[in-house]
Amino acid sequence: MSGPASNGVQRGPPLQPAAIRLDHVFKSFDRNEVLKDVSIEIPHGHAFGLLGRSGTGKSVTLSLMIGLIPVDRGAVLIEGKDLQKLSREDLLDARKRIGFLFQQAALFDSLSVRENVEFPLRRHTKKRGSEIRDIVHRSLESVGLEHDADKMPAALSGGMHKRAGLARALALDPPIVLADEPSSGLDAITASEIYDLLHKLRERGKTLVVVTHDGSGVRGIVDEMAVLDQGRIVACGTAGELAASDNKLVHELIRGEER
Amino acid sequence: MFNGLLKLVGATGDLGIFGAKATRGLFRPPFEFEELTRQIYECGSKSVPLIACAGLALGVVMAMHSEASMSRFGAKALVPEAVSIGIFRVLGPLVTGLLVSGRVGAGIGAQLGGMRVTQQIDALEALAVDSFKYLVVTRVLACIVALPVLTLVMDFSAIAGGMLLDMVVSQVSPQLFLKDAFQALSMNDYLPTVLKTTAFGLIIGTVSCFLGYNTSGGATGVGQASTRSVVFCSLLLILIDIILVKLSFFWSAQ
Repeated sequence: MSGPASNGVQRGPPLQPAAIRLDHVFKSFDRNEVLKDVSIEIPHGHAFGLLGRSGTGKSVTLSLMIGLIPVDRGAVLIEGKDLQKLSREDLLDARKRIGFLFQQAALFDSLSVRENVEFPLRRHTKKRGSEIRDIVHRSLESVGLEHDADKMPAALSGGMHKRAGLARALALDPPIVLADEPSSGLDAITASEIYDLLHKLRERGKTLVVVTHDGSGVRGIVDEMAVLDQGRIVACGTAGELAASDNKLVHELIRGEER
Repeated sequence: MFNGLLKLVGATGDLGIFGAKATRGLFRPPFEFEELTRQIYECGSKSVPLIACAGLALGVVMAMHSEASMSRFGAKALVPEAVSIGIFRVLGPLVTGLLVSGRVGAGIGAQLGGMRVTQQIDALEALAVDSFKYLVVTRVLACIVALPVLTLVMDFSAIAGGMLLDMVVSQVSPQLFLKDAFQALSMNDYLPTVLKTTAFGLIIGTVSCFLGYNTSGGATGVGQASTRSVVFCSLLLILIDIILVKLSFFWSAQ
């Protein structure tokens, strides 16, 4: 069961901690309160969609989940570990279990696509060069970039950027994958290809969090969705439940680009 | 006015903390040897042609001015000494620092600024890499290592420039020029200046990394980081040079 932890649903004692849990999280930038008492719980192996209009704090929520920015109040727990209480070294270790697909992919522009995907493997594993090359080849093959491995990021299209970013995020085979606006700036066909890749991750049992404003694209992938508006979660449930909502914003976000 | 002053004090404090963190990072593992080597190549080796050419030109200009001035007192024979002392003690370290501020400082400011606004620094963190150690500490250390070597390149290029000028204009033999030039120097002319340039390297690395690493505001912010890196590094270098020259006089007197 995922969704807001404070939704009143009674649960028995959990066998293992949730993959991701946001517990009454508040976050402000200067005087702008971006998140107000946000609680989310995502069990292992579940796919979760966080919808909202631009500037409602979706990307901030994702950044909090990987500890890129600290919370003002509340707690973010990844596999039961409170990110705020971890030492710098432990936080870096916790991040090895999370793959992050950035909105603009954030590929290292001084490295080729192959080197971008190799980077985490060379940093964090003791695998031999030939093993790393095999893994990178398979990763790039899985996202359809095996023939573009030697290209520099500047030579890639938007969709290729996203796919290369996804290959890099998955290089260490993390159990948790966070995707920030995976379809933004892409045409419908390319966006659909990215969603197909995310769908495969879900089928492989990864815990998946997708932040988007495109409800129609993500509804086939996720088990549950929440809608963020003005820093609060205003709705949570399956795609069908949210589609039946009376809330105009929720309804519009779920229908997304079908309109 | 008051707000501007407060901002300046705040930024100075932030820079101090940033510098202290970078300095502490120099001595604490993990040491990013691969990235450090790459940065020494970028900051040091790639600056050699610029520094060598500038040194050569500086030596020629120094020798020309010395020739003109000394000949009025019938002391043209002292040109090699004037060039070597002027270059090794004063101009070599400072001009090297200013040139490296322009080439390396601006580059670091722009590169880290670009990485910040395109989320590449966040991507490093997300990939479980300590971005500060990987990007900042390596660049600061590369500047510290590169500056003394580049200063020596500048010094010897300038001596070569002065020697060429003296050979052409006064028909002085190279052996005689070099003998006179180096006889005028003592260990006190090498060691304090080399140590001084490590401080220059620390300043260039820290200031440009600070401005680049904390960039905000997209392409405009990147441009500002690059420009400010050159301006602040140059100003600080000149100020620190005054203090260090005074200290080196104290050293010489001991």
